[in-house]
Amino acid sequence: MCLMTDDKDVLRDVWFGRIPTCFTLYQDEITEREAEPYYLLLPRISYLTLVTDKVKKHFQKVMRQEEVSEIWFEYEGTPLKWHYPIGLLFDLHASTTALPWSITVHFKNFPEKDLLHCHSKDVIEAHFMACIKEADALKHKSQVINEMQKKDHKQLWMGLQNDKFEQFWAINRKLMEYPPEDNGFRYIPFRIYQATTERPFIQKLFRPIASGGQLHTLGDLLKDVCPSAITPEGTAEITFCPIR
Amino acid sequence: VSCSMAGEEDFFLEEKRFKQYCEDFVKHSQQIGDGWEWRTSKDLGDGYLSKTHFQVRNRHIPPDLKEKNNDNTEQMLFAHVEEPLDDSQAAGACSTEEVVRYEYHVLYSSSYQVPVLYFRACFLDGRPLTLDEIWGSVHASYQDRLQEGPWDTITQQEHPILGQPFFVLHPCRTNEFISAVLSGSQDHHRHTNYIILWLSTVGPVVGLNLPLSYAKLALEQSTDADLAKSPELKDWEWLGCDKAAADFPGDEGSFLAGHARMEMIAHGSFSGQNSPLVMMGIGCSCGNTSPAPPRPDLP
Repeated sequence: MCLMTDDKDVLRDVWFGRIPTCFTLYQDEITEREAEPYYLLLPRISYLTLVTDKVKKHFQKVMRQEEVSEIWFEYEGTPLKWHYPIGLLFDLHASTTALPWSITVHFKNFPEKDLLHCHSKDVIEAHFMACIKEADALKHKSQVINEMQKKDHKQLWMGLQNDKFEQFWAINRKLMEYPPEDNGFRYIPFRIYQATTERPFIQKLFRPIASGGQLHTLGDLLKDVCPSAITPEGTAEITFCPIR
Repeated sequence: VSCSMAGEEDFFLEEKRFKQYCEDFVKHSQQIGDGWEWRTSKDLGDGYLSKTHFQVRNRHIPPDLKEKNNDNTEQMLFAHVEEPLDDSQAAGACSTEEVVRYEYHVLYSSSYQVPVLYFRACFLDGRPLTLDEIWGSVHASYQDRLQEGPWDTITQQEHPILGQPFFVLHPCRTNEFISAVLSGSQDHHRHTNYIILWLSTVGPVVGLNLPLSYAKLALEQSTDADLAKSPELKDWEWLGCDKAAADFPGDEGSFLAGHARMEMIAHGSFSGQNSPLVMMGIGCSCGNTSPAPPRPDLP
């Protein structure tokens, strides 16, 4: 079952999606001279702490060493969860405001109750790989991911870290295949995020094929899992953010 | 044990059964004053087990010092510590720095179809423990496993219902050891509460011990015919290691629990070779000179 040739354009568009962003240092941070804002195109599919080394360096240049501890980001008062993909954060918090996306940078008073710590790239890699593994548990009972060698896992991570589409998809395509006798994955890996609820996302088991053999649609999934999203007229306003 | 099995697959736990085992678990906890409760989420009706307890850093307050009413745990901590403390220890136990508030949650993972242990810890002044401090407080017997692959064991994650940072004990390998134990248990037609079996095994890694009394819950649910088949459950006895519980106060609590669990599952044909409990047995400080089972090579 080869999805690559049919959908390669879509896959590339998703991979190369960017959000123009303006980073500004929080006004209460103590600096030795004025901090200029820093502009950057952020990859939608990556993570804040993975792609902001330059932002960190830029602001640390005007700060004293002792004033700098773990970096964290905030948008209009809301701490941004680095472990969510950047595109998801934007769609969840800022999709209706004009570009560039204005993010505030902090180096003090890390919000322990809201954000996970991210002291090194290893933490990001572990989180990313855990997501991949959980998705494969749903798609293939973990068979495909467990049969891969450590170097394949590493290649997925390096592909993401270094923005290498071909390198990433050389491995990821195996995770997106299923045997010809099946009509799809065992369960669809999905999460429905809502900015307004305490619960961060809705995630349930959902099969791609109905008992009668017909393929389920996105509408079927929403009706089953999040019926409040659908209006009496049968329409739903959602932002669809493909992640893996 | 009633778990769904599909052919050659492992013992996956369906969500309905998870809720039922939790319900039975909470009932027993209420009877013995162990402090567990079930919390239901307001929006989707799913839920989780929850328990809070206080622990002096590196020393565990045995559960039998707690009263049935857990509302005043903090007061009890300072009023009822009966173990003899020397001067340096006394200073440590009374300083707020040394007391850690642990909160444990048991949630259900639909992706892996197993229960998952979430927890968070903070000092009395509200300062949360760091991941390093958590790793450092993991029981000595598990430190080797933790050094090999810390990222496979305990990491910080977002709580799926509350949305706040918690530490999580990774569920990917739960099925490995649970399957080994459950197959032995099935051979002897013994009823087991999956939650008790699982939590009594993984809990001690992060300072959470279950009183042996929970084993009686399983026995209560067995029929007379079952009981006739299985040998009497004796306290504090281990294969190749006979020592009375009274000889091991305080810190050895988790080893004792390990012994008791070993006894519970040893009645089946389960050899214990792959169980993390055997690792705990190797560290046993009871001074017994009988040969212990050989330490399994860890994968």
